[in-house]
Amino acid sequence: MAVRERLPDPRAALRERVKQRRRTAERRSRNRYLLIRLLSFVVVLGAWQIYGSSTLEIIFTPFTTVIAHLFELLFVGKLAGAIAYSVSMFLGGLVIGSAVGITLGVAMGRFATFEAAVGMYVYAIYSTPLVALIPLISLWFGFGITAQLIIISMFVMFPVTIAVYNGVRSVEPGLVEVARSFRASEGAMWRHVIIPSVVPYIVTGLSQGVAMGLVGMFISEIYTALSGMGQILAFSANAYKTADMLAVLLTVMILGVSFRTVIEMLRKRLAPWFDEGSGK
Amino acid sequence: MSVAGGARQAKAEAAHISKWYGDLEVLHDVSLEVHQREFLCLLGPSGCGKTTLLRILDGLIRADEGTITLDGEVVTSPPAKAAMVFQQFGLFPWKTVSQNVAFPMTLARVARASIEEKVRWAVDLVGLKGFEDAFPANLSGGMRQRVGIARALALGPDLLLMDEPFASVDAYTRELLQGELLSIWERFRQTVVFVTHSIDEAITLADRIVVMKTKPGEVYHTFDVPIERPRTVTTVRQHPEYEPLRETIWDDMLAGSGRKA
Repeated sequence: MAVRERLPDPRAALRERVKQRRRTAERRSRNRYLLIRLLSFVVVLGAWQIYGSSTLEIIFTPFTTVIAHLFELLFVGKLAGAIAYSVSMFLGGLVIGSAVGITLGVAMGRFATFEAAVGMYVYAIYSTPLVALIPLISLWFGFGITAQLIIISMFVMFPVTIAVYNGVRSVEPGLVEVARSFRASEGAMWRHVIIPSVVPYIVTGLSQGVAMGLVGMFISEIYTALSGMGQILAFSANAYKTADMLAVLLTVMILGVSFRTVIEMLRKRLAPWFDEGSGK
Repeated sequence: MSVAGGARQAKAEAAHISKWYGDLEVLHDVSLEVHQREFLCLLGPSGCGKTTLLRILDGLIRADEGTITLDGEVVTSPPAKAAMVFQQFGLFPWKTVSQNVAFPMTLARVARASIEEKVRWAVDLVGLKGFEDAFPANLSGGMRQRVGIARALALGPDLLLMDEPFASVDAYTRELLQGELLSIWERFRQTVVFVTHSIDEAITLADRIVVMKTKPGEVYHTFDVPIERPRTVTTVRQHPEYEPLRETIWDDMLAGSGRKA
């Protein structure tokens, strides 16, 4: 290292050229993939448009019609309000579900006794299709906001619990020993070793929780009191308004992608070392 | 072979240490004196319990029999005066080089300004200036262990415990690091217990070598290294005492592990 700093580098020009060449190659391949994505987008939308125009309106509608209906639903219809309602229910369920999931996962991972007592129920319920539990939840909690929140939370909770549990279990014993050797208290152990180890797993769990939470959101809106985006979807389906259905689906898709992007940004913010080099 | 330095003061002492893992006795009645400001190597083949002994010295695990004392005080948990360098580096992937080096001082609630100064000093000492903000994943094995060494030295420990610190780096880097450790140690002369399975490494670094035998782990023989300081890796290899000592220790290790030469 020191030697390289001291001596003038006779090959600096060459090195600069190599770097330049690599940058150009990277830019080219970036541009190429961008082009492929764009082309693919055009082809898919084009096919949608052509097929939509050539078939019955009930079966499928052209992309442009869907967009038109989307704007109509947003500004004339009830979609804007429905989005606000659904998203706030979803966010409420996400917060409750991940809070419970993280707590449960940490407790199960850290305390063997707790895992022995509770783990089997978590796995049993996780293995049951949650949709099958909805009649029971409706029976207990009715068809209102409480029931909906519980359903969404449950969908979020299990993937988060399992991910966090795995995270706590995979804290490297070697690092725990290092901290012990430097006289870490239990609090310092959590702060410096366990929590940072688990953060990437929490983010992974949240990302799965978001996907499952959106499922839970629709299910809760369709299977309890019809409400939010689920209501619009169900009504349009019953009335054979395919364009409206597709507009709602497009909206959910955009929501889902946005939430995942936010989680990905969160990962970069909370666990920057995960991006650096080999991952660990 | 000799029992060295009765006149010197003991820094750390292991008295009649035994340790079982289940039915397996890994250490049997090990007694050992680490002298003030000496560089001691624990040398033995894998499975002789040398790493276990080091962890018992650090208070990380308890012996089933016997006691450890450091400056006359019985060790039951990791002492503040001791610092360990780990074979697998033991760096926290979510901490930068600076934060890793600062970690033990943060735990000890050292004042922030003092931490910063000591981190700068230690990082510079091991030749990592300019890498303060790098994460371990972006460093080579050799550089990671420099961080491990800086972390231990920044604490200013009385007793430095090193668990095969160079076993996980390539041969070239190992020699480089040995040389650097020699020159650092010859400046500061903390008491060091260094675990290794390499005879060359032990002769290069140590004042005194304790050869351990296996099954169960026991202290076999102790050798003084009569090579004057300051040393470099090269001067040690060229020293007339080097080859004969190497051969003697090799035979001793073979005998200790129950094999024929």
